[in-house]
Amino acid sequence: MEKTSNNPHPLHSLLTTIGLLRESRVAMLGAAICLFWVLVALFADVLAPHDPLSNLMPMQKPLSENPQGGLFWLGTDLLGRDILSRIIYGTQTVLIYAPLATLTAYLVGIVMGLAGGYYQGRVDMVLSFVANVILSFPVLVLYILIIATIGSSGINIILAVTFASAPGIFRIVRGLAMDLRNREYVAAAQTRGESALWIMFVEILPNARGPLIVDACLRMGYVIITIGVLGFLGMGLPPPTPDWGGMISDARKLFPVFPHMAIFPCVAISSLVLGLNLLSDGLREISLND
Amino acid sequence: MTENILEISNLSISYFSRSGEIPAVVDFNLVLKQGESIGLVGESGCGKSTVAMAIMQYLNGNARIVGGSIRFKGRELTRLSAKELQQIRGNEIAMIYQEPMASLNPTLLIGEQLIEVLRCHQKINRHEAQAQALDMLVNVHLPDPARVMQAYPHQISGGQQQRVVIAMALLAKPALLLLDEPTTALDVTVEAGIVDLIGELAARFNTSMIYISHNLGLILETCSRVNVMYSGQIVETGAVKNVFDRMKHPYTKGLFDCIPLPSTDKHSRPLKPIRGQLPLPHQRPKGCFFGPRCDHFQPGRCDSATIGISSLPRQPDHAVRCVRWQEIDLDTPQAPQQEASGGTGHGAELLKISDMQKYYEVHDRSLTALLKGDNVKVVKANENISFSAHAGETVAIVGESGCGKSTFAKVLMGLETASSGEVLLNGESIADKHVTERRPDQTRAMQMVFQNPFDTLNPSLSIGTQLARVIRKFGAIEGKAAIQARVLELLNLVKLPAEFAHRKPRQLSGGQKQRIGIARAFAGNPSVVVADEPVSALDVSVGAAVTRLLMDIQQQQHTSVIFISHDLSLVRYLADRVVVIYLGNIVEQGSTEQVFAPPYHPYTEALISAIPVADTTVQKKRVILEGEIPSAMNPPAGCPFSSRCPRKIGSICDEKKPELTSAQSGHKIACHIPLAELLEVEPVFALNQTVTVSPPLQPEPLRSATA
Repeated sequence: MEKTSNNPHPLHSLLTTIGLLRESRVAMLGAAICLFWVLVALFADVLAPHDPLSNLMPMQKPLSENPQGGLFWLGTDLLGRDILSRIIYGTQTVLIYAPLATLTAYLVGIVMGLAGGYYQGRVDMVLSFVANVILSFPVLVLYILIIATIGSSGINIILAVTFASAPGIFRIVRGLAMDLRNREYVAAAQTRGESALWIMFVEILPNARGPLIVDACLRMGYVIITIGVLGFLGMGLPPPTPDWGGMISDARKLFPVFPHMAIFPCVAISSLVLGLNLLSDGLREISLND
Repeated sequence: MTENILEISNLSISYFSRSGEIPAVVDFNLVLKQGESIGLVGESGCGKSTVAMAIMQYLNGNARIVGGSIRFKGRELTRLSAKELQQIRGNEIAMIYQEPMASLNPTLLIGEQLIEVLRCHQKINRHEAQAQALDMLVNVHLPDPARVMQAYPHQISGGQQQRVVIAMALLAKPALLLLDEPTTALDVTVEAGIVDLIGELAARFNTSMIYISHNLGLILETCSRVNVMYSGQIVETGAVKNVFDRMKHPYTKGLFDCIPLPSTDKHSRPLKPIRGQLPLPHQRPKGCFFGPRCDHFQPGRCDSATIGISSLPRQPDHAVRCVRWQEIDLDTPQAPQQEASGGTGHGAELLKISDMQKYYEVHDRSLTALLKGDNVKVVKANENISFSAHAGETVAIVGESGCGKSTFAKVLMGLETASSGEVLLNGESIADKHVTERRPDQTRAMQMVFQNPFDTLNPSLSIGTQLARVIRKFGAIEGKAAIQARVLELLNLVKLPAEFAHRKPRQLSGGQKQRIGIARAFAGNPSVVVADEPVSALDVSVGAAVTRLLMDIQQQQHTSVIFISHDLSLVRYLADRVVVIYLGNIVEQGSTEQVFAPPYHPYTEALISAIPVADTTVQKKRVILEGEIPSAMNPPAGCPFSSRCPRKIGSICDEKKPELTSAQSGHKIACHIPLAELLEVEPVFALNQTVTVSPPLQPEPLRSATA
């Protein structure tokens, strides 16, 4: 049995959560990879050797020298921009939009899921129907439709991702809520006259957090891939914003000659997604231990 | 003459986990003769099931036998290879588990599963196997065995499933049968049938049995010898009669003090819970494991060295693990803490329910139902509920699962509304008011204690936060400091330390959680508390403490308690009035003395006789009910009990529903049998005068009979 202090401080509970991570090597590895990218994004100004937007020397291979001093560690792209610097600044793009989009998708999914799972009946029927209609579209077609209609910008990426992922989250939350609403503490809350909102957000939601946190990590990985795909299709952030997907798209035609232009952004995307997947796996493992 | 089937000597089993070796069973000895049945009794976590699994050589991956031997028919089980064990398991040693549905494969026909057992262990053809399987189903008294052979497990009831499991275990004619709480998941009347069956079959096939249970009454009914276990050790062993009548170990005594016996009531012998909790295996004290909870603990002797088990002189069979057993006198009751037998005068009428009905509509959306036009079915969960409760009174609602008890609680609490009839709380109608439509003072006046301790508290919030929310919600107290003070007051009320306010529910034991559940119900000073099986999920010693607490608070605050339960011995012990429900209908109601004495409704009679009684001085009449409780969607046209009634008098029972008629003042029975005839029925319990140390204040139904 763990020892508990009498006055749990918020910081204390955060520390114990991090302490739990140490139970799983997989989670530790995933967390380390994610932390690496977060640090890269935070200190992009310090880490980037060049300006990501200035055209320096086109089409340099990795490790070639910059006449103005310094190295192009990963080479330069078609327009002569330093690839390493663009990847570093691209981290900021990804780590701003992916969590934001996941968060909004979760807000919508949780509200819908709690309502459907708690009220059941007609409310649930309507919500489930809407969710199923959205889920029945091929995701890519959906994205193209949305972005083509409302135009490509950061906000619109968030909107598109929210629209496409909220139904999946709705289903998870709905399932959990349907189970949790039958608990006796929910009955206890009902018998003392609590409002439906209180029951949904205080009695049900906090107790569904375990599976939701695991899913959120996994889903953030998908969102990162999605943002990459959107960038690749030319529907991501408008150029010249450094964007991993856009970089791969730009490098596509020259891939046989200059593979490095595409490979390094690919590695960046994969490693971040891998990190999130490992973290999610590890969290699941830890939650099973408990 | 009679050979030893099983000899276990000095068996020790440990679990190995991250925190090292945890001894689960220590120094366990047992000798089982041919045809003998031995009971293993103890509370959860005492190592009963671990012993059974060790005999089967089927321990968990992280458990290991660290010493001792298990010899079955002279063969050392601990040294057998996997192949040899396969020959023994299911063939010579069979096991029956608690949950019948989990023991049967849901995707195979029952016949198929039975035949499989025979074909696996004997070289016989399919045809013979089928005949033998059918034969065994007849032996376990299943109605229509041929149909059962062709059924899937989910198509038969829980009681029938357990009979199939028993048939399956006996098919290979095992020499040893292990039963791990075989009736715990079943209703009392079904349990009585299974217990009877087990006794009958063991005698017929001359099978030796090890019967694991937490219920002392069942042990008395099924076994000839008993081993009382505590924290991985046998603390007392002997013939059932010796141990039950002249127990020597304080823990055995404690267990008996925790259960209500039919020869006593709450005034003559209040339940005496064992204080404290079972120690975790790695926190066991030095010396006697029971020491910290024992009233006879003597520092220096009880906590010095490991205590061995020693036999009583002249009774080598009866042994006890206690250093002080010769000095302790457990027979004379310690000064009975006669609390001024309060609760005599009950206050004003708080709750009055008259002709309450609750029907559910079930829509059958299948095509055939639509074509036939009967797509709406009605479930008559509550048919005619009428009774009243007064301040300070305990009214028990008794019935088996599916009788509509929980629906009734939901209507009272306003989670559902009644279909018709009247529910008056303090004279105001609440029958058609959902909880959200009730006035705050009405919700506050009626609160509930729930059944499942692991489900009753929100796992995400601390105890203090949850109690504070209730107080704030009921608006009686304003201000942070005042609410905090009230939280501490409530914790004190349920005898928990103040620091529990900062704990999360998972840091509490089952009994402690249930105490918080009680504190929560009493937070707004309710006038009526509905308790839905509040102790059925707890161990006896813990349950006794919680029951006691609930009664104490009730007396202090003069609250009316509606106690919903299937446990008649508990009901008899604590209720003032009893309402017996069958299939949504009240079949009998009256004061506790009236209900537990003739005239009985035939259903009440069966329920009372199904109580396992842990008292050798009580002679019990056995009434075993046939069949299962009918579906509330399709109840019998006449008397609801007519399909199972052992005293059915003819077609009137099938055709006309009996009215509740008054037998004495306040005692009503709904039965077609004339009252005079019901009065002649002899009481279910009779005291065996020869052994009696007659208890003071004999309650009504225990008239001495010439048994």
